[in-house]
Amino acid sequence: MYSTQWSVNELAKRQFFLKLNANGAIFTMLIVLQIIATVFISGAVTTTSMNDWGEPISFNFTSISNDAQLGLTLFWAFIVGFLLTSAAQRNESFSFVTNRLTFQLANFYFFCTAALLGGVTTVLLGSVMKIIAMFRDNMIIETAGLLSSPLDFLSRIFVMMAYTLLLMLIGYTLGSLIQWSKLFIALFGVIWYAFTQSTFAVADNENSGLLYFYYGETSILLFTLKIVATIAVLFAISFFVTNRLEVRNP
Amino acid sequence: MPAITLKNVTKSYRSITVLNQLNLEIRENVITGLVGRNGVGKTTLMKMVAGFIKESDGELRVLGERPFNSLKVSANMIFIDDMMGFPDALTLGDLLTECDRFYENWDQDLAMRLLKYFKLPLSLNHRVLSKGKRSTFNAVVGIATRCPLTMFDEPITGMDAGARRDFYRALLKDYLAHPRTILLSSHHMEEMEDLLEDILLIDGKDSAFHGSITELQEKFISLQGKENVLKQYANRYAVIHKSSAGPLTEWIVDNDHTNLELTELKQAGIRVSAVSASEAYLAMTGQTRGGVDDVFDAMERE
Repeated sequence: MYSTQWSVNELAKRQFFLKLNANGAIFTMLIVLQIIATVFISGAVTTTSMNDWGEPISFNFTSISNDAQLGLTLFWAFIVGFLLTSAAQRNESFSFVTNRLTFQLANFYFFCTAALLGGVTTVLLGSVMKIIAMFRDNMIIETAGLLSSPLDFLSRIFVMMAYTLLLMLIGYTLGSLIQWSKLFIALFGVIWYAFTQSTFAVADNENSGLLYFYYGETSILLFTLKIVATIAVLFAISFFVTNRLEVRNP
Repeated sequence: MPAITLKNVTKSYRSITVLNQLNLEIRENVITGLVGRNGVGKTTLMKMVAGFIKESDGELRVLGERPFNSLKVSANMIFIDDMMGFPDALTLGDLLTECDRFYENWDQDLAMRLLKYFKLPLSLNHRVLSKGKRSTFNAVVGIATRCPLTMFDEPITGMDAGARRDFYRALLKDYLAHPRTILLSSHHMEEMEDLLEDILLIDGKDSAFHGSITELQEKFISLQGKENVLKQYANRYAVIHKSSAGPLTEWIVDNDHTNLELTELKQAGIRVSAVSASEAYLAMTGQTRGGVDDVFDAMERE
């Protein structure tokens, strides 16, 4: 009679597809944010400066960056991570067959998919920016592209994906802890304050601090290791919390 | 093998103990009605069985396993209530497809036909449904999943009389064709007593009665007669409930008498009859008519 037996893997996969079906709006949000970043913010980031060294030589520098898209994608990643810890998300999953492990795995698969999409689109937006600049300023830009230096281009996509995934897991872990106890909100407030004080205020000492641990890494292998280790730790912490959360509990 | 076994199970939320040292067994392939007054822990019990919340103490076994985080229990169980969450982005039709992917015994054809009968278009969104329609949709999901353990917590919330009648009928028909263990909680005992085989009455953090519905009925008898006659002859019985309608007074008393006493009562002109399960339930939980009147009467006297 009680014949139905699922493997964890199979169920995690099905829960993942349920999540994809149910959360299409998250990807729409990403696209909207990126359009906003491209259309409205990129103008502000494009700076022109002129250097004049006397009659014969003068330069106009125009620097274009897609930092805006990058920042918004990372912001989106954090919010997505946070969103998936909501009680509604949990209730939806638990309306179907699941346990807390498959729930967590499905969330992780979802993050990987979202990071893939976020990473690729953000880096490709850099090319869009170049096209815009080309039409507007009528100039030719030579930077590392897919054709001129494919490895560099691919590594940019990879790094962006890694950061997106990292931000999602940070959001997810914070969200889980807050779901567990609201006291964490206060704690995170304090930590955030201390973090910003120590990281951004010390401008003269660029080669230290928590963020430098990641962006200062020049070896892609070590960078990958660092990111994977961090993600593993965050996954473990969030699962520790998720594994004891009660569902549909007022 | 019983479908659900509880041994000294306790559930507390911080300082409040909802269920205390509960011991019971729910038989397999039986429809059990879970009744009790508001806040006695019916929903807590079901959520524990569903594996949504964790027991604080004791041993809980569902289908032979501890339900919290058990995939086997989750795959063979469905818990229907009005808090059931479904993704906003999916239509009712999409939700049925998801059910089909997750539940092995899911009957898509039955679900579609029932939704059509209850006038629930597949293109609608779960969020926009009215309270009664939402309950109806959830109930249809509960029936069509055909889970070996199916639990309904107040499934008829918001449903109109017709929908309630149809739901009970559909549940019974499908149960007869595909027997399974069903737990059904509701406050409308009189509506569901024809459907139930067993009754589990929770009262005061514990099980106050658990047995077949006829056992519950046989616990009490109803005596009807003039009040002074009743007082003269029936005072030796434990009176559970008194009510009067017109010239006759009805006492519901413990069914604990000899045949000789019975003849005596009948000779005195007292009508002795069986009580219905819902009357027995109301009597047991003290939901007697005039109960809250006492509060106001007492205030007036002071």
